[in-house]
Amino acid sequence: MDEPTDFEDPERYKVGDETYARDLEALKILRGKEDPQSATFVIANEDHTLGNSLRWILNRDPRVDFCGYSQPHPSDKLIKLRVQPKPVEEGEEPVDATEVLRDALKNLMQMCDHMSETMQTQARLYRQQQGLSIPAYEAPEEEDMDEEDDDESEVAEDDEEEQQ
Amino acid sequence: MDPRTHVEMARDHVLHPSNPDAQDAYDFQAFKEKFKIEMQAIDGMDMEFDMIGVDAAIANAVRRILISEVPTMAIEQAYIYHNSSVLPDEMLAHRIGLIPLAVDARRFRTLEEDNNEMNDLNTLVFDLDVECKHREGAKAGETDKNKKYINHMVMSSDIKWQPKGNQKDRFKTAICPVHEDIPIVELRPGQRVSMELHCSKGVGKLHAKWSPVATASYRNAPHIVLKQRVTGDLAYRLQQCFTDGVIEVRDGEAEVVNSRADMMSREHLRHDDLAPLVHTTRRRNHFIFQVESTGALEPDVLVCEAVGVLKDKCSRLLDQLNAITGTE
Repeated sequence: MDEPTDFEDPERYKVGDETYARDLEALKILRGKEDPQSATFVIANEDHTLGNSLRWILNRDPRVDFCGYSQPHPSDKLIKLRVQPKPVEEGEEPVDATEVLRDALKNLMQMCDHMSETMQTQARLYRQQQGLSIPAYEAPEEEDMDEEDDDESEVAEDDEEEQQ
Repeated sequence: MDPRTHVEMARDHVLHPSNPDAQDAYDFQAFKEKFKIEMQAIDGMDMEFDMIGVDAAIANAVRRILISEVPTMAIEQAYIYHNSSVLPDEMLAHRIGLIPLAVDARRFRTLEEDNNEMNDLNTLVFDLDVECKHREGAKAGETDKNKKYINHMVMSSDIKWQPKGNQKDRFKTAICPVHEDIPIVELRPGQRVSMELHCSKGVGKLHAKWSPVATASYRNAPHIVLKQRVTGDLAYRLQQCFTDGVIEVRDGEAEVVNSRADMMSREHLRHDDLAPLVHTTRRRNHFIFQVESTGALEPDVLVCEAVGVLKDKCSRLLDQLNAITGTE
């Protein structure tokens, strides 16, 4: 295989005639010609953790005809998720794969919220019964974690006012 | 046995491994009714709980995230000023990196979030400076190293936190390793290690030192049912085939008292007279989780965090999807 030759553009490199992105796009949607409502989602930086969870919930959607995922190569940090919605009768509004995936993600998020909540309730209950101390389930509030930049600008403004 | 809820563990195969009702449409209300968490034990940093009513895909996602994607703080950079110990620098640095630190990583940011610029919100600094000396007044021929030498063993307790910025105000108690009795390297008089250690936030998939758990595993709950009454000598032999405490013999009759203790050896299948007496199955959607934290966060907090990470993954993908296709 040829070595990358184009070092001009830090975002891309060339092998032969092909140009490749150095960083994987976070999400790419691949479509076929014959079945426009189906799609293959190429999801970067994800693995079986999300792939299998999504496959499970998508296969439970009655609008889905087929759903599967693969990690094409263990060295490539990406998964491919194939979603094929059911063909519709004439006159019906076709369902798009993106629509189905969006609903699946929302369902999974709602599920996560409920799981986390239940876990917290049960752990708290158990700890109370056993007389154990209760840890902070929510991340402790940090005043200066995200507002650091704002603080600095405020300080700068104050200085200006003083000078005036 | 209901094939929708149980997987039968036969002699050389598994019966109905997947749920015939797997095509049922997902419904949040139905999930909510079925989903249960039963806390079995929390003992310090160990925890056992049952997660009931989820598919293996979700249970496995939680387990995988616990091991590799819940962030913790670990020592990442070791600036070694002096090392005359028998261990090479890199080996010493590796050992030190693996020491778990008792600090809540949720109160820190990753270096990437700050463009790899270190500040008091993403980096903790520790000092380690130990020199070994002869202890004055030690008897000739003394064999006890504690009496013979000073600092003959560098321990995790020698790692001293150096608060930077406003860290001293943010952390009321000093940050230190979870265990203070981890031996790092042995020294002899004249040898010394001296270094500055920088600790940053990371996840287990980058390096195992950032894994918040020692183990996180699950197994499907065993379910053992006697098909008929088993009495007399047979009952005692059957009892011997299972893990202690699974089967008890009461008034000469075998009785299953604690299925979950069984380790599924299925020893009874090797005895022709015992094999037909028992149904050994596992519950499909009932997972017995075992989580053992390395000490930074309590195991129940870790599980909540793991579920949160799964949610974050979904929300990130949803944002990307919306960015491409436009929101509805």
